[in-house]
Amino acid sequence: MVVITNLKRYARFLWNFLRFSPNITVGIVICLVILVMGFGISLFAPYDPRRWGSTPRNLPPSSDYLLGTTSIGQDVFWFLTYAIRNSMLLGVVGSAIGLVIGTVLGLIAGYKGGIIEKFILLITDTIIVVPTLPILILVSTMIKKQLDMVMLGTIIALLTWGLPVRNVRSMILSLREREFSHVASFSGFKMLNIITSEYTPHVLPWISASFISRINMAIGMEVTLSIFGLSSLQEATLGTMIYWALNYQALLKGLWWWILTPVVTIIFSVLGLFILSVGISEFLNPRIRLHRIMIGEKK
Amino acid sequence: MNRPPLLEVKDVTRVFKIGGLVFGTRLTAVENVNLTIEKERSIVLSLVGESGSGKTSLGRMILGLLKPTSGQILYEGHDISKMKGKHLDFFKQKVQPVFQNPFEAFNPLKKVDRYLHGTAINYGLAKSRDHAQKMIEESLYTVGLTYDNVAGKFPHEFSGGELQRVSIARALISTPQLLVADEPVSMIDASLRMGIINILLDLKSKYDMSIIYITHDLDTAYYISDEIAVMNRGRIVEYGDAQKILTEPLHPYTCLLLECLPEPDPEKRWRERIKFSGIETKEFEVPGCKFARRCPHAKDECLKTRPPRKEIKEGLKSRYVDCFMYT
Amino acid sequence: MSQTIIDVNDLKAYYNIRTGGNTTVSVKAVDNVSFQINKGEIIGIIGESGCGKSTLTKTIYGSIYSPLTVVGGSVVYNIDSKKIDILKLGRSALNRIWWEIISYIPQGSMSILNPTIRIRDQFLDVINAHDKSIGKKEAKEMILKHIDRVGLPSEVATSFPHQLSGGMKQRVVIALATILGSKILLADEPTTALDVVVQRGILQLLSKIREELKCTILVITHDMGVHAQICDRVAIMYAGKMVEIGPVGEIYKEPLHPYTRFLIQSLPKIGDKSRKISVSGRPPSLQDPPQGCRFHPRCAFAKDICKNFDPNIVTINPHHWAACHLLEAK
Repeated sequence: MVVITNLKRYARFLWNFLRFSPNITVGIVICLVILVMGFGISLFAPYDPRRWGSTPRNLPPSSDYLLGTTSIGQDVFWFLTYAIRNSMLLGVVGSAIGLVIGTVLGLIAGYKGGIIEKFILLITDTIIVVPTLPILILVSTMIKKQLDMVMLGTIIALLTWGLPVRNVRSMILSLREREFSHVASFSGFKMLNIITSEYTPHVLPWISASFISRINMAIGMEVTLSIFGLSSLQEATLGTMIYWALNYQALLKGLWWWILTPVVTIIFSVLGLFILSVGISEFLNPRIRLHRIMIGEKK
Repeated sequence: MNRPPLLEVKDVTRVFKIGGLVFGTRLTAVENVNLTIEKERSIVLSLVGESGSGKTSLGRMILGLLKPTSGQILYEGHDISKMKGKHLDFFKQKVQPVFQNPFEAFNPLKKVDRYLHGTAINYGLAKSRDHAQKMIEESLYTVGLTYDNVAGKFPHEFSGGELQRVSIARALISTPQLLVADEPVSMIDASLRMGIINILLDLKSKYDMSIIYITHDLDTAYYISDEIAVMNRGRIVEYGDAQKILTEPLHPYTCLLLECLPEPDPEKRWRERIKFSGIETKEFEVPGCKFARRCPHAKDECLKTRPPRKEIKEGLKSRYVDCFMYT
Repeated sequence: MSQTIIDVNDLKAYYNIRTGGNTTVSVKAVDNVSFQINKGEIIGIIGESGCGKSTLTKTIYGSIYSPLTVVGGSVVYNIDSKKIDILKLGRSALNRIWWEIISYIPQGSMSILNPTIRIRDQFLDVINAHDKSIGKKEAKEMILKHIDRVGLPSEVATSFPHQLSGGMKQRVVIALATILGSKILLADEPTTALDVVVQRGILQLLSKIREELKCTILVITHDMGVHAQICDRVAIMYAGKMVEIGPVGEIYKEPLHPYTRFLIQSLPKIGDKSRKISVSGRPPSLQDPPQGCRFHPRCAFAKDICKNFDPNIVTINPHHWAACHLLEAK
């Protein structure tokens, strides 16, 4: 019984969340489409879309080949599903790992202060200053062959965890001065409890917005690398699609479906993720949340 | 008398650096303040003064939220800045705050009973959930509330007066020996203040607790205090028995504060116009008496040299005033 | 013979809030309020938080934004023998009246000063918004003269807001409100959050403005001491209704309404150590106010009739009335 009432509560919460603002609805829809393409439909690929010569070449979109075929003999549609999957995987891995490292360090630096804070900031500032793209290019030229998506994602994460540290730290610094922090301390709560229970709801909007925008950033990096032919070109990603299309001069040959597909997909997903992140941070904004608690959900 | 005093503020100074690294200035918010609260007597000591007098900074230092630039704050003989671990926990149980804005004192996104349960359980004061519940209910009863009034509610569901009562109830759960109340009623409607002030007054006798009451409102200070320290720009300018000081003030600043009280009697309206204080930071920089620029009795020496202390013996109680007029 | 400058008649102003779905909740912030403001007087409105005094002031000013709606009644200004029905005016007409005839100083207005602009330029903004014909040099002179008139040091003109203390900022705001010669000032809690010495300065300033600039001032505050010091008349509001109004001397000497009496008795006074009691309970919700007299749940003298019927206005003398059943008996 309790399980059912809880499920109902979650369902209602989800429903409120989805209807909250057009940003969320549109963003979720776009993201769902992309996720379904990348992680659902891709499972049904009748053959490995990366294999060269699995289809006739240079065919425009038709009922057999929904988005046409490439000059290397690949089905654009199925290739796209794999590409989306890999790019998303990379994006999520790169974003999450970097965000986790940055957030934890930022929390510690903000709350502890003193030497620990100075030390953390020292390392962080060094990482921030290191230019990500050149290092990525360097690294990928060195280990091009073994560069798979997870690895690339991790490398991106290790280069970009710097900014979250500063952001989270400044949020914690201001929260620490608010009187409820003192009251929590005098109520016997310890640092860990205060950070997780008291501060997290205030920091959540930023974290979720950051997570999503970092996905965009990671995808962007990968695309940049791939266009220059610097990542693992055997993999199917949105970036490598563009690389191969350019390599075979798809534009000049009039193979618009090959070059346009990845470009439009990238624009679509970046936009969708962005709109979603705007919607989520509106939803989680403490003041608006308060307003919602006051007006509706209590009933 | 061999026991160390409950609280001893020893020559405490606090300097703030304002402005940037290069062009900043230093502001001495609290200067050479000495206060003692003995353990045996539970008293209400008021710190009164305008905004900028340093009373809030002093209150924060006593709570351990701010470190003095020089001087020491001793709780039962131990320096609070050196307390760690269990000792610090003990201090936080025995010295509790009540803040000015009850809506800031609680996390707006969290339910208020979290803090009540927290205080009861985190220090190991309650042996079981039921015991904690009982402690909370007793505390709430003292402030005129019941558990049902409070359970499961967020801060915004209370009125200012009610929430401040919850604040006080929370502070009482760990049976503190010292309550530091920073302007506890200034954000509450004048008509509802006495309810809260009466609660604080009763705490003194019921719980054997001392209270440091920080305020700029002399009427409530008179009503509730035993002793009073009048602060101006970081220094205590007059100290002693509250009733005596507020009915027979010696220091010109105390006289000014009393005069500026708006009396709720239309027959007793203010006659003279007072002089406005200029840009605040300039007053802080005066080497002598910080009130000299506004003082009707000021002489040359007041601006240049720090006024000497005049001690007045009144039985067992001490009283002093820092002013050239009395030496 | 005192002239009426603002006439409020049977005013009803409610907040109609849509709470998700199709339900609308009506918060009756001002429920059938009638009174007059006389030219050149300082009148005070007292009441607890949530009694509707700020809403009343906003409505008198004409600043009515959704979800605030005027459900009935009228507010008429009487300026230079012309009658202006404020509730019927459109935005552009209101803009001409605001700051030139009547100014509103909302609560916490020290924070309305733009932190990135010098004080003098904020004055210039206000002047330019209303009268573009005034040249910059002329405007600057006007500003300096005005600042001096309100007793502010001339350095204030070239300062930024963060360089000024709270009290100073409040004085600047009052000066801003009167720069264009506005004759009516509505000040909502002008001295809350300021300490006693600064408060006295502000109150003195308001008195000075009334004398020298011949303004009419409405002061809202919950501090009875403030009213006693500067007001000529005092009105007491409770739960959206005006329960008593009269000359300040009479109100403090012989308060009629039980609520007023309670307000006065609960004040601590130096020299008096007797136990003071504040009014018990909390103010009623304006969505669902009690039946009959709204004060009856907290009134020590409530009778049966108080629980069922709204009290009528009982006029003791032409200047002093109260709405209470207990008075009707006399």
